[in-house]
Amino acid sequence: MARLGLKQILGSLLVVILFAPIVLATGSPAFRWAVYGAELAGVPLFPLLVVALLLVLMVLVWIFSGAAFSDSEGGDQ
Amino acid sequence: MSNPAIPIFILVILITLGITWWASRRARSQADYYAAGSKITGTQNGLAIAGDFMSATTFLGMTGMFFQTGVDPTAIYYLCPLVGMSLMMLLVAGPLRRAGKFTLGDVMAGRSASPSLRLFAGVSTITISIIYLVGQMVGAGALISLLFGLNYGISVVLVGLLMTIYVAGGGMLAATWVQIVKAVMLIAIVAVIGVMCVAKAGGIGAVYAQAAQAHPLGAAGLFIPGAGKTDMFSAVSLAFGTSVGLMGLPHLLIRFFTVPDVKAAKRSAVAATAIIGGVFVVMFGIVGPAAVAFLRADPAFVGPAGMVAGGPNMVAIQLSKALGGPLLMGITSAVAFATILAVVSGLVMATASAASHDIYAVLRGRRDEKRELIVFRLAAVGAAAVAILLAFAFQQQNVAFMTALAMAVAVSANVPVVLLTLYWRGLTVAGALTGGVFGLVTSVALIVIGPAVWVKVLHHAAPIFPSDYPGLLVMPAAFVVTVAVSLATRGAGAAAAQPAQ
Repeated sequence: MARLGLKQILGSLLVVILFAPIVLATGSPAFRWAVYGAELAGVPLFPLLVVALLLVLMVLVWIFSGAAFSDSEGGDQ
Repeated sequence: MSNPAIPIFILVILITLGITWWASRRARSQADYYAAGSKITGTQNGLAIAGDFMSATTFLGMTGMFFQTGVDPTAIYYLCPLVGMSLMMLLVAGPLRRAGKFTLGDVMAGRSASPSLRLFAGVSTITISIIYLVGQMVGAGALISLLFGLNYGISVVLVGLLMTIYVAGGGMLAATWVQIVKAVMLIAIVAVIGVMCVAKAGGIGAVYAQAAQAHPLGAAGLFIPGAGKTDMFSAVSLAFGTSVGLMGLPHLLIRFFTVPDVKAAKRSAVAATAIIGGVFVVMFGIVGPAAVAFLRADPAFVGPAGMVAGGPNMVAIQLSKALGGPLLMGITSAVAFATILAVVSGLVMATASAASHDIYAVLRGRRDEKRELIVFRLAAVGAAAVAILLAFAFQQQNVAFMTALAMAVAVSANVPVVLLTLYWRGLTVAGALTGGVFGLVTSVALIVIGPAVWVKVLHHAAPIFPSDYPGLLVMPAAFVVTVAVSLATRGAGAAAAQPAQ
């Protein structure tokens, strides 16, 4: 039986918190913050934020996969 | 018809058939057919996972969606897979690999050795895979029709025939190598198109400036979400279904059974995420806006209604034509074709193994490796036949949306049972079965009475259920049902699940 530890709970929360602004902004104009209209080197900020989040999530998967497939968690069959 | 596309198409078909012939000479046992003998290396499996996941949805549907509506709700479609992969790594991948052997049924029924739970896992796997498969077939039919001037029906049948040959002939080994070849081709073509887009516009900023000028939505409508295109329930439910739903997609989960050890499983996950993330960065950050910039205001590519020639799923293909003429269009189309073949072979693989290893074995009452492999091959043919028929009914649907539908069912039917199987000792067979069937039936029913099927396919005036994404409602309900029934049947002795090993 696998154990749902603090690592799993906090990691899942972190991912949800990072993702939430994008989802909320999509769902309602109330979350359409003015900063999204800004530009960086001619590129609108919102697409840049999405790209940055994709990169952050790639790093998080790398970190989380270490825990998911560690031998200390029970190893292979 | 684009002549350079024809030899490249034929080459792709020959390479994949060659792989199948090679794999068929190596596949002998059940383990070879279902899990490639668990001999795939971590990096190979990472490429195969990426090849399995990045479908017609990624390459055709999501570019088409950006072209029509900008970042809203396209950003969610691009982010969800990586959010889902993170959650999969945190919650499911490790324990699932330790609990399973060939199929999701091994995991779900593993604790209790319950035949009914294995049967449910089989039915659920087939339902999800077929819905997912239909989206891929629709993309394939449209693509081949556009390039060869072939009838849509003939195109769909051709893809169905090829995917049956791959899976029935070479099993998981053939599917894996078709996916690896496709992933390498996709990475290369996306990189080339990305560089060409930036070069043509004269910089990334110029890509965005030209796109804002070309599209009637302007910069605010194109690059900032929240203009009322997607309501809050749909946005949250879509995000929920397409991220959490990843943990319930059988064709992805069974890929972790194809590697020999935990080290290889970890390497697969990291490699797959790096590849998917890298491709998505280029697709969302450059290719989508560039398609708007170069095609939207050009009457050679877009009709008066703003529709790209060949339909919304052909935007990426038309962009390659705008960038590199018929030659690049031919190469890109061949990659898109390989993309579809790789994904459909993974889906048929999941369907056929569930039908033989989970459903047939339960109905027969005992294991018979030889007969199971015959059923495996017959199931591959059956899955193709069903997918072909459904591809006609859903011809006009956006392929990205079809994938979201599959994930909505996955999140409702599989995720609660998988998570509780792995983490909750109190789960009973009756609880798992009731919750799983509730999630499966309710999500399918709500999708049928929702706008996508009730209005667009069955042509009713208004939907009975207002949203296309029922996962947000159904998954928590399925959790509650599973837990409640488990608690109620806990003392029932016969129904109680055995402790995990």
